[in-house]
Amino acid sequence: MEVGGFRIPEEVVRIREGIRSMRIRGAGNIARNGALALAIAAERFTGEDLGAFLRYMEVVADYVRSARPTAVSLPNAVSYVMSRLERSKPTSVEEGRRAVVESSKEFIEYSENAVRLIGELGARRIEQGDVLMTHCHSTVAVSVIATASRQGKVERVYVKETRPAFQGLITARELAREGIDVVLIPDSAVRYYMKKVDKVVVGADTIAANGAVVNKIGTSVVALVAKEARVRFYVASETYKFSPYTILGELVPIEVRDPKEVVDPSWLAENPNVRVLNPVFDVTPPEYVDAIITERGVIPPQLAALILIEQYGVKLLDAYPAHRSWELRVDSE
Amino acid sequence: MDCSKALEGYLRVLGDVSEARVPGSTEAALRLVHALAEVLSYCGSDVPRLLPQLVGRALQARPGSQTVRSILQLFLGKVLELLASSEEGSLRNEPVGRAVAEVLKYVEGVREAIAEIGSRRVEAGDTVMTYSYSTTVLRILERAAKRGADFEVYVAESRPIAEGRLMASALSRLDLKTTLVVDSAVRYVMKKVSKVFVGAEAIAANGAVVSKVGTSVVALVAKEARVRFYVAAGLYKFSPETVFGDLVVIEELESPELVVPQDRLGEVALFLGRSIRTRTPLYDVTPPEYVDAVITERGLIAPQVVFYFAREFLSTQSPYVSVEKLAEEVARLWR
Repeated sequence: MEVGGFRIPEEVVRIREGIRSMRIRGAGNIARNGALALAIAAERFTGEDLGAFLRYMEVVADYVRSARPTAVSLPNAVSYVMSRLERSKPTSVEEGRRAVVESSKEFIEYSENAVRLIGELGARRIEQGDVLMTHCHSTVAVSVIATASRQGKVERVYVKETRPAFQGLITARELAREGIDVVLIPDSAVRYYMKKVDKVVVGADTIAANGAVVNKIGTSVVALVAKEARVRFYVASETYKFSPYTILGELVPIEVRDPKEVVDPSWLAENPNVRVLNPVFDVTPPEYVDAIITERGVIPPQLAALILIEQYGVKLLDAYPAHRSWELRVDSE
Repeated sequence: MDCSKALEGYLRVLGDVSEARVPGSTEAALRLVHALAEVLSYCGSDVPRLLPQLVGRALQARPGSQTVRSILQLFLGKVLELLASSEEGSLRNEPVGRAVAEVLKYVEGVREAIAEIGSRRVEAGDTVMTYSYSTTVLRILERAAKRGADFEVYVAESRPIAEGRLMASALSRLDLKTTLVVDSAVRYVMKKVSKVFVGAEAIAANGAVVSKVGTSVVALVAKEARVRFYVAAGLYKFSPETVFGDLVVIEELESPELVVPQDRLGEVALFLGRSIRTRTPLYDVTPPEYVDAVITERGLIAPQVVFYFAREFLSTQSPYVSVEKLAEEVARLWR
């Protein structure tokens, strides 16, 4: 594969394709794979021309980033590595390569640690005998539930099938391996079973500056149904899923995917006049979220902006002129 | 056709109804009536022995379905009436055939009235959402389109079974602009929707509506978005037992094939039936406060007064006796 005059290594192409086709799922997993792809790309670079290496890394970074336009963790992971490459001010390809490989490893470790930390913090929110519900598949949500289960607190988990791709099956299997009692239900039965549930734990794809949670389609339905039943609704999320763009007022784009994920091609052929709309994510408003469990602590969703400011260098400008309220700017580092 | 064939056919319909393979509650009830009429026509002297049992199994096939209960009651009531007035030894096929025709005529009249009333609620520029499959809702929308109202329709799949897909096919054949979404996408699209129309399986004394599982989710999501939520239901769907405090029974199936697609079974096969179980209710209950109106053959009414209007339907069943009693009575008179 040739991009921008550079040959992209086969493994990097494969990782990008895996992210694009959703074979590689879960924001944390996507982020770690993104960082890994950069390390592989750096290792595969041949030649001693530093300028070429830096241009090549930029091309690879853009190429990896473009795999999923909506996954914030991917550009955050890529930025994590690339900004450290820039700051290392390499004087040779070898130094540059080392900066990429080391910061990639560092990010992967931080990320894996985050999963464990979130599991521990989240498990404190689970009480003895709790019946839980979850939607889709999220490594961090599974971490919270599994950690609480190892502490003997989880009675049962209702896992929603999560159409169209049935990621609920992955969650069901992972929880079953932990010896947890799992009840797999259709998405439509969410309100029917909510009365039996004590707490909902879900993951997130992206978290906006106002605390709105972008996650797999149907998450906002679970949140609303939980609210109605006065069931606590927790979102488990690493901070690199917080979107710096949204603090600039940008909306989070919702990807709409191929109808063939919902119905067979034969069904589409038989029903040429039916439009099949397949949005991948929906937005859960912050007022439906009791707390976001991050590796930095359990926070109210409205604190998302603060995390962005403290952790990722997003800055608010002073009000100027006086009658204009305020402007925002992302620190480019 | 002979008795064993008729019985075989009846059992097949029972299976289809119990696993909700027949879309639409009234459709399911009518399918049962037709199959039962065949048994009555071909099983002659075996009828007294078979009938109470067959009727009992029909009620178990769709527990909680007032539609099945009421339609069977209507049918057996007619059969009883005609049997009582026919001469002994005269061919029984004739009263059975007439009873079927009368039930069909009754249901058709109800649907016609509901289509007429309901279609007036569909305005030009509307975006309608519906859920699962309902012949009555289909009729309302067909009538509205014929009136010249320009509107489009969103349908959710309605898993398990996904009758929503059948509904989408049927709507698109009416030349309506139709969009199919997964059940999880109902809140995503609700902002674009102006009205929701759904069918019902039963209506309880307090106005709570029993429908395909997921209907109550759509109702809640509509409420949140301030979208009107209409239930189209003949008054025969009112459940009189609930007046006496009975709860509507909702059966939960433990059928993995309803939740896990065949080609994905491998992923959970190791744990299925042990640490992973599947549970699938076929219906859920929508509280009356989420329902803006019930569209009945007598008009558009609040869910809380369905009881009052349904008394009229119940009074035509005089003297009011249960389906089970009616079946025994028909069996007794069947000579």
